[in-house]
Amino acid sequence: MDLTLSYRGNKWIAHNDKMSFSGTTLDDLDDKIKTFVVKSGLLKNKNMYKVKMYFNNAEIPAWIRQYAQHYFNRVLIIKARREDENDGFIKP
Amino acid sequence: MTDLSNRKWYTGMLTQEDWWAVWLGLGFFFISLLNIWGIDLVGWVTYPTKWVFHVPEGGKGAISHAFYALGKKYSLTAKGFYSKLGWWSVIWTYVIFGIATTIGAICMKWDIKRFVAGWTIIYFLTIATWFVGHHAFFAATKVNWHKYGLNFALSLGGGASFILALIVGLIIGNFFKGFANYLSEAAKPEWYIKTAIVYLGAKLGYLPIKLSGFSQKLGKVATKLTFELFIAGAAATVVAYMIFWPGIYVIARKIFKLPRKTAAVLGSGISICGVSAAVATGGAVRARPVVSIMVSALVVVWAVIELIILPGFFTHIWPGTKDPLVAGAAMGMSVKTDGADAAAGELLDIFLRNKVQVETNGQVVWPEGIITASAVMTKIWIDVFIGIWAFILAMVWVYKVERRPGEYVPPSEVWHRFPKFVIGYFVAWLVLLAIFFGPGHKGAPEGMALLKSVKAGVVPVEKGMRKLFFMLTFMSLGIITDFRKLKECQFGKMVWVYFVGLFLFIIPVAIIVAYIFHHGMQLPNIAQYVQ
Amino acid sequence: MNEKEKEKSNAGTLSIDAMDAQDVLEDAEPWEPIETKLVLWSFAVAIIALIIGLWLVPTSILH
Repeated sequence: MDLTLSYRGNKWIAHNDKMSFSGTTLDDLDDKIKTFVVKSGLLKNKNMYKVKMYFNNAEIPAWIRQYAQHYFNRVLIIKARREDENDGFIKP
Repeated sequence: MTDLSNRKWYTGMLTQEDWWAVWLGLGFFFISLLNIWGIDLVGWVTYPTKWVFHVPEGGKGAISHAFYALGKKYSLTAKGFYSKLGWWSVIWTYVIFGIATTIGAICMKWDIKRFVAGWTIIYFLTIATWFVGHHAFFAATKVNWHKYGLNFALSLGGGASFILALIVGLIIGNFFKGFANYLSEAAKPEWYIKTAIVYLGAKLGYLPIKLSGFSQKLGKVATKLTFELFIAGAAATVVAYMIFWPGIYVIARKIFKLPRKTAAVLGSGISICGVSAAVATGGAVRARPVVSIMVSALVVVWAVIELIILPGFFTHIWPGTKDPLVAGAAMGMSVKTDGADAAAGELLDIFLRNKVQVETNGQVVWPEGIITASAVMTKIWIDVFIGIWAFILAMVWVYKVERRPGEYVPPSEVWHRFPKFVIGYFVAWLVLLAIFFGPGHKGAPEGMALLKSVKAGVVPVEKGMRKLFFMLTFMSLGIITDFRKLKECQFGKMVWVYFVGLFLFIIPVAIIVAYIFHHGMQLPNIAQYVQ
Repeated sequence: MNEKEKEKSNAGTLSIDAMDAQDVLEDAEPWEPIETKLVLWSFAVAIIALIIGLWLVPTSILH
């Protein structure tokens, strides 16, 4: 899943054409995305699921963009939880 | 909202200033090489010369010749045409660069009306200050005063124009805020300086060609010197940065009690490459963007303060003419932002060359641009290094400091943060080096015909276009710099961390590290060839 | 998109004025051992780079 990341109104927002997630911290945001991925069955028959997030530089003031054209991209790897594991991830 | 995220390795090639510096820089550079086949399409570039209101008998400096097309002097195949342009070269340059930059602005989806209006005003203001700054009273060096009928002049060379452009820009930026905002669409110092740095790459490659025109031995000396700057700059940059960053981090955390992420971003912002480092580090530690934006706002103001203070300090207090390349390299490591650094390096270049001529009564003349190159070399290395450092820091932060489960730092981050204009700089340099060592026969007589045709094309680029873009940088830097930013109370502590960090830690360490790697490097004396 | 909206989107949504920046300067976390490690490693890399540089760079004061 590819998401565009931005920071607005004191919230991190990750979205694409179909869905949108938000959280006051990146941890919050990640939790919501993980919950969605697990609940929607995207992890079915897979060991892991990658969510790529690309920060939208249009959010950075235009005068700064000439100095730096990249804030950061991140990848969230959501692993399927085996019965014997307790890694903090949500059980499918 | 427009999506400007970096998704693929080629993202941004048409939408980022960084890439447009490469296109503008390399585009005109390669067009200039058509001179090898006798086609001169760059001789129209305008260039100022010193002038006076009343030309003494037998002297020079007529206002009618204050601007000329460089092709008049250097073209091998179209000298007649370019000689006729005179002041019209100002319009030719305006139109051609106006079209080129506007194409860039269109691709970057800027407000075109405002860009064209802003470009027009900034360009002609720049030309006006370039003209005034070349009045012989400001620019004529002591040995030439009599030619302009003067008994005294400030002897600032081209430096007067740069200083004047900065002053005019600062007046607009600080006293005419509305006008400055209106111009902001075209006031892009970083875009202009990155383009100028690509032209500087051409200058570096051209140095051996130029000096071998004096003597083959000097050509070799110039080649060796540029390679030494390349290596010494790399070593100095890594050492300095790895001392700067943790030093500022500790100062910010322990003395000024700042939060972790703010300290990390400040560490990079104050350390070397200012805004780009602040943004890169902010991203690396996953800081809210406000942290990087705040630090960036501080960086641009402090960088201009350094630009005002340091060239004079390094020229007249230490290290002066004894160690010109220590001064240049230290400048590159001290002054944040590419624009302010290259501008400060250019001023230092002019000041030191003037000073050594005066000190030795004209017995020592240094070639133009090597000191600027030394200041830019360290900056370019740090621009490259910051991408790697931000990647390492991101891994430390994500995996060790915050330990966020499931997050992975993609290695493509290094490429996305890589300063693309550096590609243009190295390509221009290496192409000319390849010509010099290949068909140019290292400046031997059998290669000179080719090297002369290369010179006819490259001089308008490395001299005319580079200086014009430096001038545009000085003007734009002034326009976007608002000193009142430092007064804003919300910056409070940050201003003090910056002040203490910069003057008591960064600059002294930069000088020491520059000294360790550049001490004793000598500039070639070309006095016997130019007089 | 009208002109105003276009201008707004081009300018970026984030500005210092639009955000409360005070918390960026306050509430420093306690110093943790990982920070000591990070700082010491950085200095160590600097020293190693300095030694290699002094040895390899032909213009260093060692030569």
